[in-house]
Amino acid sequence: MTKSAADLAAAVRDGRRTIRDVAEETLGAIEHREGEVHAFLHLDPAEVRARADALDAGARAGAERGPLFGVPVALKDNLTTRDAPTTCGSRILEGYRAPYDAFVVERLREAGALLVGKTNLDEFAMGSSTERSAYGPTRNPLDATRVPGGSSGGSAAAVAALFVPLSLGSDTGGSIRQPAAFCGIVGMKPTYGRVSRRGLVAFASSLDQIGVFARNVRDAARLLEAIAGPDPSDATCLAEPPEPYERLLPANPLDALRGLRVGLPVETFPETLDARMGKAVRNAGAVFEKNGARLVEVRLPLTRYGIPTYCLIAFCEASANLARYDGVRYGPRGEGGTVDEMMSATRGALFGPEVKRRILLGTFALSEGYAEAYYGQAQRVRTRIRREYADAFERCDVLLTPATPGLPFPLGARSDPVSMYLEDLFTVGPSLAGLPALSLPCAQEAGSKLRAACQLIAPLRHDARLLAAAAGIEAALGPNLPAY
Amino acid sequence: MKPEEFDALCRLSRLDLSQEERERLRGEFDSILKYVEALRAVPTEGVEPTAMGGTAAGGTAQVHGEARPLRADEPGGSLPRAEALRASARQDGIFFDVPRVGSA
Repeated sequence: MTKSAADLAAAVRDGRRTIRDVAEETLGAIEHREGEVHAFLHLDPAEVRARADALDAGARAGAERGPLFGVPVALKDNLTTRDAPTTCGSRILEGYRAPYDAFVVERLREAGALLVGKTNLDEFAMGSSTERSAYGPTRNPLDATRVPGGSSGGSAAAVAALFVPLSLGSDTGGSIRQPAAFCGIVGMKPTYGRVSRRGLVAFASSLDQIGVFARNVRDAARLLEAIAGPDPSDATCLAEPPEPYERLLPANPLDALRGLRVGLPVETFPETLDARMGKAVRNAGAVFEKNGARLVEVRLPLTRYGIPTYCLIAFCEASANLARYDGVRYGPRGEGGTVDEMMSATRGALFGPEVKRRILLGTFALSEGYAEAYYGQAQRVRTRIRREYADAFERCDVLLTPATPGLPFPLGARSDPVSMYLEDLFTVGPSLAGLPALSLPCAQEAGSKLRAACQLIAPLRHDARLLAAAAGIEAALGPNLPAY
Repeated sequence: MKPEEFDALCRLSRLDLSQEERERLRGEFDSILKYVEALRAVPTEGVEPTAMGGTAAGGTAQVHGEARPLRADEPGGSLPRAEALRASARQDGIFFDVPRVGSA
C-alpha cells in the first residue's frame, strides 16, 4: 500500500477503485512481510474483506464518501473495539473483548475508514521499543535487526512497512513521536485533551493522548481532523470544536515558513548528544531559515529533570490505573483462597516486569509519608516546566528539537530500565506541558534505510500551526533527505 | 530498601512474586528510585502543583489550562448486565464470583 491516504480516498471517491480492491492490496502487503515485522496482534483477513464489502455496498447505496472513506487504518491494541480483542500487549487481558468501541473507533467507523487490525505495543504502553509486549517484539521495517521504538511500535511499523497509510497510537511520554522517528514516518501527539480518550485503556491519565501516524503531514492532518473531540464522556477533553486541520494547510506548504519564529532550546542540544543527530536537526533549522523562518535561541533549563518528573507522575498514575486488573472483571484469573490472594496471584503471574516495576515505584511514591515528597514534588516541578515552555513561546511560534537521542537501537540493547527511560529525553517535556508535538524525518543514513527525526512543538491548542510548520519543513527538505 | 520493606510494598501493590523476581525487582527499584530522587534538588517553594481534570470551580493549575465543568448529572444509559459480566473469568449471571473476602 504505497499510496497516500489522500490519493486512496480520491481513487475510491471517483470510483476508480473498490474498497475490496484496497483491502486485497493491504492484505497482500501484510501477508508478504508481517512474518518478519510482527506489527499486528490481531488481524482477521476475512473480517477485513467483509468490512470492505460492506463499505462498497454502502457506497453503491449512496453513502457519503468523505476524506477517509475506504482508507485502511490500523489501531493500537489499547484502543477498545467491539469486534476484535483488546489486550494492551498483556497476558492479563488475553482474549479480552471490550463491550464498547473507543470514541476514535466510532469516529473512524462513521467516516467509513477500513479498520484493518490491532497493532503491537509495549505492555500497557510502557516502553520505548515494543520489546515489552507479552506477545513478542515488533521489528523495524527499515532494518529488522532494530527496534521500531515504542510503545506504539506496531502502529508505526504498519505504516512504515507500507501495510497501511494511517494508524492510531497513544502517546504518554513519546510513545507516538519516538516510534515514528525510529520508523522514518510522521507521528503527532495533539494537545492534551484534543482527542477523547474514552476507550483508550488508561496508563497515566494526566499525560495520555491519542494521536496519529502517517507517511506525510497532510495525511496526518486528515486523520487528526477525523478523530478530534469534543466528547462529554472524557472530562479532560477540550470543549471547543477542532479546526479543519487539513484545509488549514497552505496550498503552497512553504508559505507557512515565511516569518515563522523557530525556537532552538539550548538544552535540547547537550554536549552529550550524538554529533550526527545534532547536525541533522540544526540542518533542519538552517532549511527553515533558508525558507524565510527566523531562528531564535531559547532556554528550557529544566529539560534534564524531564525524565525523573515524568517517571514519578506516570508511574504513580499507572499504579492507580492498573489497580483495576484484579482478575475479577476481565482477563484470566489466578488461584487464591481469599480475594486478596487471588488478586495478588493474578497480577504477579500475568503482569510483565516493566509493568511491575512501575506499579511498585508508583505505589511507593504515593504511599503515606512519601506522596508529597515524590508525586507532589514532581507535579510542582511540572508546573515550572509548563511555565518554561510558556516563556519560550513568548519568543517563538514553534520549537525545534531532536526527536530521539540517536538512531533505532538493536533489539536487546536496552536491558537496563533507566537506559530505556532515557530514550524519551526529548519527548517527555511536551507531554508534561500538554503541548502538541510532532516528529518527522530530517536526515537519511548513508548505506541504510534508517532516518533521523526532528521534533516540532507548538503552544497549547496550536495543533494547526504545528501541522502547517511541519508540512512546510517537509516540503522544504524534499524527498531526498540530507545525509545523516 | 530492606527486603521486609519491599515485601510489604509487594503486598500493598497486590503482586505475588517469586523469591528470585523479588530480589531482581528490589535491585531495580533502588536504582530507579535513586534516579528520580534528583528531583528533590529542584526548588519548588510556593509553586502550585499541576493537577489533571477539573471542576466548575476550577482553581487548580490544569495541564491544558482549562477548567472543565462537570457535565450535567443526568441519568443515562448503561451497559446491559450480561455485557458487563461477559469478560469475567467467573460470574453467575448476576454477580462477579470471587473467593472469600478477608481471612477467616
